[in-house]
Amino acid sequence: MKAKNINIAIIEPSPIVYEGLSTLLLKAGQHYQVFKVDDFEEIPQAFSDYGIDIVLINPSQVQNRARSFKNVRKFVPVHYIALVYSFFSSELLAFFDASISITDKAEEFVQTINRLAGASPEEDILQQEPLSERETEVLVQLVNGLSNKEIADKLNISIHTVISHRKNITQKTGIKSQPGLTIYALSNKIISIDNLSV
Amino acid sequence: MYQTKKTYIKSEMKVAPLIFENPSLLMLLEHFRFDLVVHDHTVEQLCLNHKVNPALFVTLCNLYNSFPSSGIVGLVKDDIPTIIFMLRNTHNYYTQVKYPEIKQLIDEVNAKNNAAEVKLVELFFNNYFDEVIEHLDYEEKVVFPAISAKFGFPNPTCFSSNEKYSMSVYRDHHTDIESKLSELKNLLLKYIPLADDRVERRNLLLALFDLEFDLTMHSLIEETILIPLVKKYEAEKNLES
Repeated sequence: MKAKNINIAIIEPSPIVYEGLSTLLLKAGQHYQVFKVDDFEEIPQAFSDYGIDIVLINPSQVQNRARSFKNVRKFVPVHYIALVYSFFSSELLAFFDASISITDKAEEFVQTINRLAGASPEEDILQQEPLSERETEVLVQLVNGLSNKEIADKLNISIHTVISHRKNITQKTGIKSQPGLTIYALSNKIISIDNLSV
Repeated sequence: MYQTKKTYIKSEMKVAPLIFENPSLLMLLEHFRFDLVVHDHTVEQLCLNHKVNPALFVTLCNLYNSFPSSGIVGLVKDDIPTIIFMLRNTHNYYTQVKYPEIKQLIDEVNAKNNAAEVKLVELFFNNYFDEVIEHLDYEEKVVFPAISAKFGFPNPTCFSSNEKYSMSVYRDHHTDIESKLSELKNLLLKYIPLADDRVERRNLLLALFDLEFDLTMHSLIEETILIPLVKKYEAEKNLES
């Protein structure tokens, strides 16, 4: 299953730092897309074109322009991370949600970005696990073509629980559609072809 | 998809070495209806011979070489019909070439493996293919005519442009098409028991990866190039009026 991409806008005047940073992010093995933006005034445009989740910005861009930066922030309420490689006053850094220093390790970059973007690290771990007993029960009902409501009634659980089981099933198996789940259940001998009406 | 480090393409580079480096670019030539024999031409010469804006072609080539487009610099309003032309060719390629090929490969797997699951895969794929057709139809009948009409370009399709299109519907469709494809790959690679169909199944998987790459490029072109370009000129048009 493909996780959602995290779109990162980078505002950094030094081409070397920009290239290094974007290579590092793209190589991190995360679902990152990187966009180069020249000035924070262009953030609203980039946001409407690509759906930016995170802005990585050199604080010197904001110095003396705090007011327009605040406006942009209000207009595009995503997460702003300061990219620090020289001294900046704590007053200035307070404009940002977090800051990373170019002396930080790549893992720390990734952690900060994922924490702010709300990426769930559990997703990959979940994928390894087999279905629980309850999830298997829900799966069988799904294969039989029952709706969430019908499954909830039959198994005596709430619709919310059914939905959360379905979500886990999809994450663990990589399969979402009813026909796909049927094939999955058949292959894993959860159901047999005899109790299937094709 | 095949290499990790590829050249960042510029218009003064020769085409042939770029294709040796990333053969997927052949599909891009095909979608643009460029000649396959590229001689010693540079990217720019090739484009000018075919009356295509080199900046547009270079942007798309770089997308194929996994450099995400970081804007629509150098693209002009007249590139909109070219992009639509190219996307429509891609649609034809899916319906006339790629999907029939995959159907054929599923038949071959079917012939070697009589597990019930394989029969279901056929059903699954047919349903999926219907959805793809529906999506392509939506672009053909609604999106492309509407965009063309908006900027006064001749309508490339035979459908009139009276319906209003919505860019968000347009995007949702894509996600769905891609997630079903990835389901199919998961089923074939992880779950369905193997019989005598090893070679056929591998061919099928490779064909699915190919299709997936092309579909991903297709949606990237729409989302990061066509849509921003349309929005830009829509905004300009609104300013004028």
